[in-house]
Amino acid sequence: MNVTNVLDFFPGIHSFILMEPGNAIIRILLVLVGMSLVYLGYKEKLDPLLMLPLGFMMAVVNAGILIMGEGQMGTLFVDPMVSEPGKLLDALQINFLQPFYNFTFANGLIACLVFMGIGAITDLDFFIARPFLSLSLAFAAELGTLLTLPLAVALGFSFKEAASIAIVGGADGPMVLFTSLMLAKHLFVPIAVMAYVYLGVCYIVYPYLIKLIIPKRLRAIPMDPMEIRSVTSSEKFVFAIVAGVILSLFFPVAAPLFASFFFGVAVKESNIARFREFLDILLSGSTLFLGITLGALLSVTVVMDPKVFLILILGMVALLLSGIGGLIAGLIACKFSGGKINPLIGIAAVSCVPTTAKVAQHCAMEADETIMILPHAMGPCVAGVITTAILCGIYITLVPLF
Amino acid sequence: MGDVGTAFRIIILAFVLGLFTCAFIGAVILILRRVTSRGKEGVEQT
Repeated sequence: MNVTNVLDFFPGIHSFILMEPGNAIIRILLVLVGMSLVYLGYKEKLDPLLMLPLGFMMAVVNAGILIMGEGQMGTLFVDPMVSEPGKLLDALQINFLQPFYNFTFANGLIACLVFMGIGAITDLDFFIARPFLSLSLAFAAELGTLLTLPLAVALGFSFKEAASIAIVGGADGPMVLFTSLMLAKHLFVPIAVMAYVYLGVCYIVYPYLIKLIIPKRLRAIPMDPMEIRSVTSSEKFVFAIVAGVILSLFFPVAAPLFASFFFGVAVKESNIARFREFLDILLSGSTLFLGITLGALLSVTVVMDPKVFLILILGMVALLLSGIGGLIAGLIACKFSGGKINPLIGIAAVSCVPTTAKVAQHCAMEADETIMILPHAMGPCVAGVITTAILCGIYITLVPLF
Repeated sequence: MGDVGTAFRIIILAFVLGLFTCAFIGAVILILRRVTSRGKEGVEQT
């Protein structure tokens, strides 16, 4: 028995030896990054709900690469590139995550299910109480969503690809999934994975951006939570129905997203306990499978795509620009209100409910331990979801016309 | 691959459409506020 025969007993290790050295190094790095994400999720430095399944599967899928037929490297998790009917049928019967990928990812269903679940836990009180302030801040916090598009085009991406990358600036995973599936299906995997990893990183990066732009005395401006007027449940219910219908009328291509989100809100406000409990479980289940499938998609074969590096940079630029836009709008709101509005609520307008609102509260408490701006930050945060969905609808409608 | 000039035209159009839609949604909220508060007054009167 020679060495090659012994290695045949360990296909994972054998595939390491047969790989090009560069790919093998990146494969090891991806395993380590995956394990780090699991640890950071476990320690709650990053969002554990997403990072635990994503990081774990990312580490495992890169460890479990083996040599398939015809000398090709692959895994028994999922093959996102397979499209030919015969091969797809084989993949569905062999790869254990293939059914999830094809029947929930590739058609945008998972994005809609997650969005429905988010709708069912979203409180519209603070948004409806101050709609114009919330929407103004949220629209300013779409700066990255807008400016990244021409930037990506300048770097050689098509309009559709650029729009899919730019929507990362809206900091809403379901919207990124939906847009990339509608406009640039071939880049869906790297864009979606990058977006979700970056949304977790918002926790770490945005506090530095805040300290860079907002002086400490402005971060310590108190905002009385009791100032927010009470909003009745019927007001929120009627708004959810009307907004869902109007936005679906304006942008039919994004209607599944609007329908999912506002249906979730309507279920919450109608207070039907059975539906609410089901949507709660649905959100947990969808997030779990989203994390698992995204992690499994993050194999070395996907990361080695030459476009991925540019997508990584553009995604970060989009999120940073959106953060800057939100904070500048927060400073303007602070100035116009005569110093009554804490500019930190601008960062919450980037959306990513409720992460950015929590970041705003955390940074405010660093400046002054006694202040509570979270209720005020939730208004722009929820408005950010709505403005991102609107821009998603506009891009999906507009970009194919050029 | 597209050109940067057209990309800017797309985002200017997206900005205007987005702004209009946001203003519309804001106006809808204000109208609904009036309608629902009037409804409440009606219930109180009866």
